[in-house]
Amino acid sequence: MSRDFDLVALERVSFSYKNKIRGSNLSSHLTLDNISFTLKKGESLGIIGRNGSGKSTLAKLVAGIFEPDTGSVTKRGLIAPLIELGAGFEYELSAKENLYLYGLLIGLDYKLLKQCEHVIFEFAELSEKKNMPLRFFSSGMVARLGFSIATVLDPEILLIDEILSVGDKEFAAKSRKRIEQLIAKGSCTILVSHDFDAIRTLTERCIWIENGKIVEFGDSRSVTNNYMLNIL
Amino acid sequence: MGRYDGRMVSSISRHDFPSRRLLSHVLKKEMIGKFQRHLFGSIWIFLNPLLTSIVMITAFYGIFGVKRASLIDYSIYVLTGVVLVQFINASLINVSMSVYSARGLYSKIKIPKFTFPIAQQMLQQVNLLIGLLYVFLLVTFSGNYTIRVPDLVLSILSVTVFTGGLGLVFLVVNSYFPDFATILPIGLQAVMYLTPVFYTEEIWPEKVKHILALNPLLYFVRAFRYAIAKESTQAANFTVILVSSTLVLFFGLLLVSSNWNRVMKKL
Repeated sequence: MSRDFDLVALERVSFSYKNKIRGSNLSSHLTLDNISFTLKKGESLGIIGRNGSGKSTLAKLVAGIFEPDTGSVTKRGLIAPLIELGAGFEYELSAKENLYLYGLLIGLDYKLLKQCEHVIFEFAELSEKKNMPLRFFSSGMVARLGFSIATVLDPEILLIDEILSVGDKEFAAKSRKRIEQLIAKGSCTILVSHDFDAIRTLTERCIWIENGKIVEFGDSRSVTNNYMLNIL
Repeated sequence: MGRYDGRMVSSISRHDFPSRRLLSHVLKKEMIGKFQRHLFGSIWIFLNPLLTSIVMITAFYGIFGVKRASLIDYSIYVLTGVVLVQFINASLINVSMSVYSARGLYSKIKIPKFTFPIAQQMLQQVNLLIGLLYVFLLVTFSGNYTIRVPDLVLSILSVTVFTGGLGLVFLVVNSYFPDFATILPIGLQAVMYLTPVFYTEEIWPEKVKHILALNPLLYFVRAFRYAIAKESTQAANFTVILVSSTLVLFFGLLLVSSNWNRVMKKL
């Protein structure tokens, strides 16, 4: 794959949760209004903005949960949706069964999952508990398992929505390291966060959105600085 | 064409369907959620067809059955009707609500569209099989019935295809009219009374007969009973039922595919 290959490309994407009324002007209801960006291999993008500005909707469009009303979203490669870890887990089932359930749900191949089972539990530090029902797990342990499954296969696209602080301090550091490692390996990353420190260290470029529109798009350090100045 | 019309029509693709492995894991999850946590829920699926039938038999045997049928014949008649109609109701309601019930998943991860509708429909099959078990018991006890296995399989297949398809249509209707989900059980109740479950078609007045014959449930109940009938009095036309069910299914699949974004926005 050449370095110039776009892994994610959004072109003039607009989206509204309200369904269209033919001919009416809905621009005031747009959750996202005319958003464009591209991400190549190894590139990373931060998305910041206030609650309700459209950040998570943007992440869901990239994940393919929604289709844009106008414009296009194109993606290439395996996507790791770190949107809500543990969505899809069944707490009565064992951790091992949940590994396959969740892995298959996010689109991973069964054979590969089987090969990686050991690695996943090792990374999540849950090897001894793999036959235990998930309802005995703490929320941190559940998140650790989810993170390990989603990132085990070196996904090309990492989509992170506010889940950087996975588990306890030790595991948060470990997961952060894993993300940095994946970026170094060439995964492209989209990071939705209010943690500007993470945005500055993990991403090169950053989008600031307000009411679904891009306010500023540029170098992460300067965009976060301008955002801080704006809200003070 | 308006500005927003670009993506109204999307076709059905292989990726909209779950792999067999994914389906089996989702089924396991749903089964556990349904039965393991609710002891009474699992007892109830065994009791429901039986109790409903017993109530109907006690209430209506004197009115509708006594003239021609023995108690056991009437019981088989009612039970076959109840089992099938209960399956149709449960399947339509559960398939039409399947995506909404799993919204925690659909709104967080991109999963094949039809994963939960298919899983729900397969779960309803369990109820149908339990009901059939009672029918088999009664039929064996009675002795003078023949179960035509191919006919039985065909009628179960066609009713599954039909309710699956119609359930998908209702799933989309729900996204346009949220109140539809509340009205559906009431409507289904009405349709049940218009279907010969505990009475026979002969009691229908001549005048309304052709209107009542528009009820699709009638043909499934007929086919189902025909497969276990004492003698082959009426040949159920399985080809017609199967073809029309398949058409309904394709219509449902297409409708869900082309309205998927709307369905997701309404979760």
